[in-house]
Amino acid sequence: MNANAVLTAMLPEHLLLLGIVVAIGVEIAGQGRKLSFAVALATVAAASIAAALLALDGYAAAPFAGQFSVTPATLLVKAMVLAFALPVLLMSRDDFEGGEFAILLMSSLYGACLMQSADSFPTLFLGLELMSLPVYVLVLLAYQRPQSAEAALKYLVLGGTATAMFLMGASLLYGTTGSLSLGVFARALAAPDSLSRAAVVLIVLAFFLKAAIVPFHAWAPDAYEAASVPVTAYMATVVKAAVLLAVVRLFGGATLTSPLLELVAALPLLSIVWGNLAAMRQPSLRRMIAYSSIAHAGYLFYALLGDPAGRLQAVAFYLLAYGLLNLLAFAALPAAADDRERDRFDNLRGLFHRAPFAALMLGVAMLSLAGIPPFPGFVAKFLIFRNVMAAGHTTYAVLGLIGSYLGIYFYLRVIQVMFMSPDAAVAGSGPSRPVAVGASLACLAAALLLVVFPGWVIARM
Amino acid sequence: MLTAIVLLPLLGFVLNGVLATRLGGNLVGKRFVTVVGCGLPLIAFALVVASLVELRAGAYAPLVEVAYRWAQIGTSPFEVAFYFDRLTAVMALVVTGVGSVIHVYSVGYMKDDEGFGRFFAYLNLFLFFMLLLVLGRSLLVLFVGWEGVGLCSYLLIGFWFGDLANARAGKKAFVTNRVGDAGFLLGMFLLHQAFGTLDMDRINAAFGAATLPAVSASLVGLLLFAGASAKSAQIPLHVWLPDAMAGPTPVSALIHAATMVTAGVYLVARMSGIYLHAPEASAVIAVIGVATAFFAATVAVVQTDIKKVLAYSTISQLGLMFLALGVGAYAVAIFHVVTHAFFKACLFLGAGSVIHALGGEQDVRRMGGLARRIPVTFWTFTIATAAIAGIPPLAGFFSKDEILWFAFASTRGGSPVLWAVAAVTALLTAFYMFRLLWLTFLGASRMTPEVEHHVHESPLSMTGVLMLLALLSAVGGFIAVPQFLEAQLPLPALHEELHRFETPLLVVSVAIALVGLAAAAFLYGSGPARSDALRQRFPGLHRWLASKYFIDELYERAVGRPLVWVSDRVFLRFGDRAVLDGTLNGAAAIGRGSGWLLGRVQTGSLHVYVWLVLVGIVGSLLWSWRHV
Amino acid sequence: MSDAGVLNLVLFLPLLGVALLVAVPAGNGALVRALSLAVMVVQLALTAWLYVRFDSRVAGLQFETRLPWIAAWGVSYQIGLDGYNVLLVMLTAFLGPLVVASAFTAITKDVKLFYAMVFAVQFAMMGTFLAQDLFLFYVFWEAMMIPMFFLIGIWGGERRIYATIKFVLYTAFGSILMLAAVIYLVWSLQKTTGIASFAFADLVKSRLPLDVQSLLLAAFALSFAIKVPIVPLHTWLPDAHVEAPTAGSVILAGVMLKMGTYGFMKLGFPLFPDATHLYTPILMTLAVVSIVYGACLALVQDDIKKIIAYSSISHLGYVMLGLLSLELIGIQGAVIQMVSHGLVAGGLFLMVGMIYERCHTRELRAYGGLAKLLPVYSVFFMVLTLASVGLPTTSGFTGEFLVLLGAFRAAWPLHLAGDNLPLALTAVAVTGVVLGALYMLRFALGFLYGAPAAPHQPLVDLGAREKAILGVIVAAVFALGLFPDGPMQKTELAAASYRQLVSTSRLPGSPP
Repeated sequence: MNANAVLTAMLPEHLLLLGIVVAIGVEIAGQGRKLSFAVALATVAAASIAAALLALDGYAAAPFAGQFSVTPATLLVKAMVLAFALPVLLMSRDDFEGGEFAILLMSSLYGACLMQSADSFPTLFLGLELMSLPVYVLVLLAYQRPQSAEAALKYLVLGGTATAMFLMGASLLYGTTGSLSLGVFARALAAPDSLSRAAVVLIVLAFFLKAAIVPFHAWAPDAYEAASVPVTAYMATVVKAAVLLAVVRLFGGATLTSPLLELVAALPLLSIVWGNLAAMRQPSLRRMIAYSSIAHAGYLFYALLGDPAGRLQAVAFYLLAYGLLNLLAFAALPAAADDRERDRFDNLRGLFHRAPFAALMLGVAMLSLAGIPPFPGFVAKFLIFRNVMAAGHTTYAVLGLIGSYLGIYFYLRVIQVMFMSPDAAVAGSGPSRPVAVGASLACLAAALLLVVFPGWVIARM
Repeated sequence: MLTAIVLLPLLGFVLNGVLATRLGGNLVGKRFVTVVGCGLPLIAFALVVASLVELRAGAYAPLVEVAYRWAQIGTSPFEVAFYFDRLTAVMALVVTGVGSVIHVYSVGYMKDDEGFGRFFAYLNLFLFFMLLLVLGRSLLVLFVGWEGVGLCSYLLIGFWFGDLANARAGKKAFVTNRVGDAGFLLGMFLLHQAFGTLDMDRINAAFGAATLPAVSASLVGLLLFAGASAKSAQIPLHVWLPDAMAGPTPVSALIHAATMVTAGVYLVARMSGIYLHAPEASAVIAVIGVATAFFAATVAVVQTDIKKVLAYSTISQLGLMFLALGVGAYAVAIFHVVTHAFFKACLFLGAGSVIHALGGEQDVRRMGGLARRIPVTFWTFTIATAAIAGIPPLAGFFSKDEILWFAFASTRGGSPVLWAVAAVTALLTAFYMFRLLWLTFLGASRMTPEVEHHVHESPLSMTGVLMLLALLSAVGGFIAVPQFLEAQLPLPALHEELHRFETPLLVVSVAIALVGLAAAAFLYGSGPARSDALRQRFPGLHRWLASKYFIDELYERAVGRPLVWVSDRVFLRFGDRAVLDGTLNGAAAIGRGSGWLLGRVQTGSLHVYVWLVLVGIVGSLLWSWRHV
Repeated sequence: MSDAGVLNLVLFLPLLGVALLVAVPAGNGALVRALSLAVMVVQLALTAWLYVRFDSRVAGLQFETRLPWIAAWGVSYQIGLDGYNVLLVMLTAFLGPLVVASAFTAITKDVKLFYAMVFAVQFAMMGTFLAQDLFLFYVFWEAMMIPMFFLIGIWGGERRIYATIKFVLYTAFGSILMLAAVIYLVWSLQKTTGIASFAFADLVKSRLPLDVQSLLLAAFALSFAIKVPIVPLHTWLPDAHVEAPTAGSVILAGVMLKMGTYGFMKLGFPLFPDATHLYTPILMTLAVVSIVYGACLALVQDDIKKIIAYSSISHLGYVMLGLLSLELIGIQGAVIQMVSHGLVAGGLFLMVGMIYERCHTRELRAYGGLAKLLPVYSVFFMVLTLASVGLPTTSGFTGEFLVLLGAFRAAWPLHLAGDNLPLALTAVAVTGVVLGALYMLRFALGFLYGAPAAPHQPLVDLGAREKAILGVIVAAVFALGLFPDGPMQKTELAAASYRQLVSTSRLPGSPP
């Protein structure tokens, strides 16, 4: 291994690390949040751009053989995940006092990036935990609400079980194969013996939990609701993306066979239906998005049913569309005196007349999440189900589509609330948030790109 | 030229319809309306005469004039073409001739009506469609006119739309005709399927050809007759015509006596090429015709509304025409169409003059003794009555006598039975017509003083027309229509052995007319006493006849109400609301319910969550070990 | 600019309109209205130009544009005019300005958003008709739903939320299964022939076994049948119509319902001919049931909008009958009937809207004797009523007559061959002519005749704007009734190709 490769291959991670250090320094110097915010923004942007440039350059290297490697694909994925963090940062600007948010965010991102390059279970575990641990704190960090603490605790406990499952599975694999490289997982998928079966299942379930697949989803609604808007956005987009992309990397070129196939089809299908149904009666946008994200996790895992060659493309594109529109929604969410009241549907009634821009943005986001054309969510959904059907799992595809049909109603309900209901009696909307608006506009622009040139984007994934 | 004949009335409709109504803001006055409304039909009449001359010049080779191509689909063209032969000539002359004079009559009759312009617009529109019907070469064009006259009938019956009853009558007429048209359409489809064309001359030729076409003539014949029977108010579709009297009287004269209602007769005559090969269909037509004739005559006997009597008389006369058609005497039927147009128009317009004089009164029980007060109306009405009753040598005598004769002796289904029924009908006709004459004009006046005070003879524009029509009713019988049509519609052969009955039957039919006259004189000549007594004798019969055999009620109970009931109860309340929407709302409710249920799982208690996770883990592991 | 360029302009003009609206300062209603009308008029002018330039002797696509869109899957942006869509595109463009103009006085709330939504739906509908690529078609087909959801949901009546949600969920359910079918169809085409393409022209090369065809057609048919709608999938329509604002009803009845029948004609039947033959008895029965059922229900409605809504179900039943007859006359009749219904039902809904603006009720009982109160209005109403009844010289007759004639011509040989169902169905369909007269004249009777009665008297008769709107519609109705030859020449080749496509088996192994 040469230092040069280490330097370039891990450039995004290094930049993040640098940013973290600087931010801490700023904190110590007591320069206040403005500066640390700027630092974080610059860092993440730089890291994302770096990753993107390397990817376009077609750079590939394995500085730590068997532990860490990058290919253009992984770099591009990192660029995307990091890019997601930018709007999160932008919308967080007005929400946080200290700089700790920035620091935690960057360290979590470091983990997210690490996962994408992991070649061995230890590296993957490192990334997974490094990504998760800060999030527990971030949830807690919101507005020091009691429910935040409670939710954070639940998240921590359940996250812990995931960690346990993951370690258990990994060790079982090591026991059966004597190797810790991710490659063994793909092989173990086909293995008939109960031990490797158990190992595989435990690892898959660990990711199910992280991605909030029924019945491991229970933490999500509470955490999403309790966290402050930027953190919710972060969990819904960056964390979900990192986890799913890691899963794709984990499964590699292996095609699923029974009984694992049924497992990876049934539970996601269940969470599609469950999430879409449960979302119908939720009182606040964040809670609804939590269930929606449960359903979307279902679609994403569906991608694993498809042909291995197409998985990364499908998942990446889906995450791109899904993430962009989620961020769009959260960024456009108008401010309110109290963070809790901010996204209650009662307060969103007649929003179009108070804040037409916000209402339209949210509307676009909802329609896209519902997968209605011409919005990007549709092409993404189409891509996944196309792969599933091409792999011959017609029944699952049809069931999944019908499950997605169940989701249409509650997205439309949001629009109905904002456009078709009598205006809510809310005392003056909060301060205008130009930065957040800017973020949502950026997301909108990107989304439009997906609408007009989906082919161009897909071709580059 | 043929095109011009058709388009002239249309022009009148457009001009009057736009300029003389609220649509165009009543730009023009009554004089303009009169000139346009009456002038254009008269010009059309002149053009028809000219065409007839041209026809003769061409040795009666049919004139054909293609207006334009309506559509060309694959290999089947649909052309709007006009066709002028002997039959067309006769019909067109009646339509434009009688039509024009009725227009003139209307000028006086409607002069105080606010809808003057609208009225003439409608009348002209009617003439347009009627000429389309008569001149059309293909069944399609004929059908356009056919439906069009139905529309005008609808509009004119409901002309005084302030009164809902009028509008209802119009709707009834339109819908009843639509029932027939459904059959008509099927007939057309069948013909088009068989011959790939709807040109009537071609179809007739095809049936005349040596090799009979594959399609059953009787089936086509019956389907077309369904349409004809509706238009010409034959059983069972006659119910609309009596109600149609709700329209202004000139309308009753023009549409519901002289022209439109005879369209059915024209259709059958025009399609005689088919019926010559359809003995079954012809038999049906003859029977329905004679039955209608008898039925309507019996009803007419007890009607007290002057227009209702004439309406049933019209139905009865149309029945006789169909009898003639049924026994293959097409030319004779057309002959009766012509004479009937004369005297029935005269009767209706006379009735109109009476109603006009009495300020709207139509009930003969409140008339009487009008003869001296409105002499012109009286005398013209008398002549027309005698004509329809069949008193020689008036018009009705000739045509009716020929019908009776062919019903008796035609080799195409003629039979003494048909003759007998028709003869009785003739008797009844003479009776109820003279009854009407007596009740209206003779005897003592039963009018209220103020009505009596206003009684006045109609203006010349009306009486003049009456006199003209009376003249035609008197001498019309000498127009040798059958002979003129002979070349095109040959009369059926007769049973040789029956020839000896010709003179006796002639005598009989004259006698019949006189008996009818005598009976009427006996019953109504000296006050109401005798007729009342008679009614006392047979109350049930009277009620039965007075209420038209309860056929309207029957239809209402058997068709009308069930249809609404099924639509409302079964289709709407049960089908749409209960079953279909019920299922939908049910599904939606299930969705919402399950959503709520799943939401409930989110209790917030960590225990539940952990339990879920454990269940998940254990379940998944067990599943994965299934095949091991 | 090339004709193809003009066609693209026609398609995207409404989007341009949206952009312009955004630029207009809020609150300037007059400018918004003028602008919207102008854009629609331009679109109509351009479409008319193309309609004239459309060569009826050319079989395939004209003014075609084809650009790769999602090259990886063979999805392309492909639009063009052909005999299938030319009349419907013309109809859509024709109704556009009328819809906009009709809303001038009716819509006062969120005016900008309203016209933006009208533009959006116009764009989507145009796209649906013009699309020659299944993916593109589906995108437009689905997108159409969204603006409609807003139009009914924001500017609708009392129960608008229920109605609009019902409308969306109903149509979306059909679409989701259709989406599955689309994916499967394209994938199987790729698997069997190696062609990765969504182009209609390529899709007809597919060779599928009967059972697959049946399933796929079922999925497509469900989606289309909901849009038509065919009984028993129709219950969304009355609610949607009743609650929708006038403009919404006009768009819905005028154009959107034709999407279903167009879909059957352009995609459903030609793609799966063998399954079509399998389903024909069922579909034909349902079509005739729709004719009668819709008419019967129209007969017992008290809400004047519902009468027209149910009459639409009945009239579109004729279209289905004509398409299924596979007889050139019937197919041509079906196409004309589509346009005719668009004009007539659209016009009637406009008139209902006009009276509603004056009296604020749709209860038939509340009215009477309008012929006296609103003579001019009544004239137009009577004309449209008669067109709906299918009186000769109006477009309604052209459509119904040709459809029934075609159906009969197709049914008679079958009858001779021993299969009596088609003939029986045709006979029943003919009775629809009677029922049609029954319910429309009942409507006219209670509406125009009798003693004058209407809320909010005195009433002002039609103004210049309203006269103009109805005038052009009536003119079109008569034009199509008296001179249908021109339009039908433009669709003749398409009708022939449709019949040819549906009549040739495409089971595996059948010749290309």
